[in-house]
Amino acid sequence: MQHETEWVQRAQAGDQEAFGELVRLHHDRIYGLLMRLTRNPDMAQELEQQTWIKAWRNLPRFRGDSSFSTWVYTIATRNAQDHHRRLKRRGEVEYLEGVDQLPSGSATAQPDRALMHRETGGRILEALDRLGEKHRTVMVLRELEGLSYEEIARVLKCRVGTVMSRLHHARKQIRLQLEGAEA
Amino acid sequence: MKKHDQRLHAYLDGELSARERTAFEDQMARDPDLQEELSELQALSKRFGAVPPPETIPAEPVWQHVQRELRVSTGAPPRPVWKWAWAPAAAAAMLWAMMWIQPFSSSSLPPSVIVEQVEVQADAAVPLVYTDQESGWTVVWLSTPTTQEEHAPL
Repeated sequence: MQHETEWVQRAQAGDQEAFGELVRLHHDRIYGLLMRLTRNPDMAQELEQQTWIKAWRNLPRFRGDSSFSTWVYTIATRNAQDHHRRLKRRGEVEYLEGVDQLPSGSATAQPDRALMHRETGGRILEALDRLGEKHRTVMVLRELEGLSYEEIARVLKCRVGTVMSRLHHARKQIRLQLEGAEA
Repeated sequence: MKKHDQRLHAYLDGELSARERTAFEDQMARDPDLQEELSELQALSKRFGAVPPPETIPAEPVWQHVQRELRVSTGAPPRPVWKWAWAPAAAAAMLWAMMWIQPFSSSSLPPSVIVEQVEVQADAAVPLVYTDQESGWTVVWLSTPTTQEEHAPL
């Protein structure tokens, strides 16, 4: 954390190597978030690169009101939302393509249990895919990324009450979908 | 969304204070429907644990790409655009003022200077000459293009 603060200060002064350290430090989380939001490895990588370029350009505006990672999360999430809106405008929303790309896991040790686990994960992802972009984003940030309500509100620039309302709606929808799929 | 729904989700997500948590648990102890609702939400939350972590990629190619992009643009984070946004507006206002504010009556005076040629030392500077026939004023304006980085949209 101390290193991070130092790297941020150095990067703000124009030190690209320090910025590189920040990229390396947060890469896994940002790429993971974008993978979960887009379900497309190439798009996740491209959006991550755009995220870091935007972060560099906006560094003078970062004043440390939130943590650096929350700040970058915000940029990444907005990138993904913009990307989703572009796809939607062109009628190309295609998240469901990624459902059968789940890793094989430890299927050799306990094939039935591992298969069930994969199926459960797959169903959850399918249900997430069927949510609208706002509800999907809030569910990913809460259930998969583990952000608090306050952090989600910061990232999405909305009120905590809005986060709660979206979560409530999203969970209800997912439960209905899972019940329908498993009936 | 009902009030108890809000608190139910906040309870599930560990977002209640200790006092709110105790109060909600007391309420739940008297309400079997609420208990059932909570257990269904807990089961759903548990199922998210089955979602596999996304496969990762190495950080280095990402950083190298970003670094190439940054080298193309600039060495340092750009200054905010608004710092320079006043310049064109100020130039336009000055030109307008010089055209319309006539400090002395000069409508009958012919231009005393005729600018035929402007020689500029600065690279890429473009001279613009404006002569107001009525007032006799001649304005020579040097336009120097600013760098792309300074005005790049954020």
